[in-house]
Amino acid sequence: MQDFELIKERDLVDNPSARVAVCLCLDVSSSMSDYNAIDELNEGIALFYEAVKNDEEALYAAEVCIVTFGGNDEAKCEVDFSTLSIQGNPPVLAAYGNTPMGEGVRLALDLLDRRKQEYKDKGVDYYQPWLVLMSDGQPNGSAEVLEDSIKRTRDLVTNKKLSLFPIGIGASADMEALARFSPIRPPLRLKGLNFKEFFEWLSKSVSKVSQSTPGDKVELDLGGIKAWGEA
Amino acid sequence: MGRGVMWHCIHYATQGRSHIKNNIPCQDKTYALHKHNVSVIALSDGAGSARLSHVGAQECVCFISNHFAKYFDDYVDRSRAKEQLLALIQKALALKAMRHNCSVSDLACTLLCVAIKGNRFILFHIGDGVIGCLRGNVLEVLSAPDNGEFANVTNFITSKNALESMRYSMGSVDKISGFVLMSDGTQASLYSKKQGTLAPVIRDIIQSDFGVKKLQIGLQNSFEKTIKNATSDDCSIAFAMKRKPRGYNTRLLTRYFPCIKNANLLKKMR
Repeated sequence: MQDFELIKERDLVDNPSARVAVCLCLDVSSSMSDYNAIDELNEGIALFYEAVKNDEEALYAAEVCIVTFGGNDEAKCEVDFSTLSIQGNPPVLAAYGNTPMGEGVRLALDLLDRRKQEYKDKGVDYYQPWLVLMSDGQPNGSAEVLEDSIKRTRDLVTNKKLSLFPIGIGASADMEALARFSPIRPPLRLKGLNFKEFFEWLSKSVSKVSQSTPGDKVELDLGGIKAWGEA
Repeated sequence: MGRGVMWHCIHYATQGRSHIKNNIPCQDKTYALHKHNVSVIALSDGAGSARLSHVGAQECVCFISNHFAKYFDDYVDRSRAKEQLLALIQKALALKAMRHNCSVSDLACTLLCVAIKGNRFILFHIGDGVIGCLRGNVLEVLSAPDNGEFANVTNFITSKNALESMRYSMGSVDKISGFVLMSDGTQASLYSKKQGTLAPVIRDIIQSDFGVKKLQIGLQNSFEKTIKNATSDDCSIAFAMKRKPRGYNTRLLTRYFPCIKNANLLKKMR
């Protein structure tokens, strides 16, 4: 009787893990090729993928999407949302063209909205989604789209529907423009080309979120931010 | 249903893997009692961010169980019962907070409870977790998890909107042969989020006619070996099951002991 079990593994319901949608919205304008920034960014993303894949919780919880903006005022979904357990290698990004930041953020928000609806339709629990916005220059796409994207983002952040991380790269990053997206958290400037340190911090933060339960306050690792960011 | 009808109660709570790893006490607490012809089961899940939520959870399950045992009749058809009950629980927590020299929010927790007397039951629920029952042969969700849009958000006894989010109802136990309460950790394994249904094994447990001791051991083993491996969170559950007439449900016994086909041997198993 001591080994008797009422419930066996076969009796369990197969509920999917709660998901954390993480959208990386990245500037791939031509200036990102200066100082090998685009190469460092690619290496940072690869490190992020590797770190998440090595994390038992985050592997099945984090759903990563990569949106780029550059070229001829183009926003592009490089990788759509899915867990890294089924994603292959990260894309290798190339830098060219303008900085249509508004178009990039608009696409990112559209994809986040669509994914949240899919979670709801399929009965999948999810955490507050994350949007990482990285740019090294001034937005120069459509002014109207930019204003609309800023408003949409601010509304979501203010209503606690989105965690936004605006990050400037290099001395030419338009920190004021990035700040306009973010009503709560001021943008940070990447220290040098510390992409690896940033993505390492990001993977740990996502892992922390994916393990949180109701009532948990997910505190950001402020010490970790010092390794890659400055005000 | 006569006053003499008994309900078997079994309950279990276990520390989740992440709490073991981080040396955090089990914040899920369960309780059951039979007193004054009232049977009560209660379950509470302490908030992860509240430093003494395990103390709050323990206080809540003890308080509501003893309160219903003593004052069940006062809640039958009583207006403003919700408000008064919540105020009493919050007062008990405030006293506990004073004794522990902490704020009430440090004791934040969810609370699920079913109290039964005669042919009436009272259901109380704030926060996530699930309350269900077996009515006839059908598993029913009586109170579903109360999460906001995001997975790590819910309401607690100490929340400002506790009253608005509180589920409180009364009903008849006619045709109900068992109740189940489960925390969100257990919910991951025994409640289908997509379909809003309980796992069929809940019916098998309620319909089984093992003795309380055997049920308790079977539940404990199941949680330690199976349920807690499916999540990193604390896991807990509580059942109240109508006492069954002596007899043997061969289908269920052979489910648990598939190697045994002989009816005489089955009888000896009890």
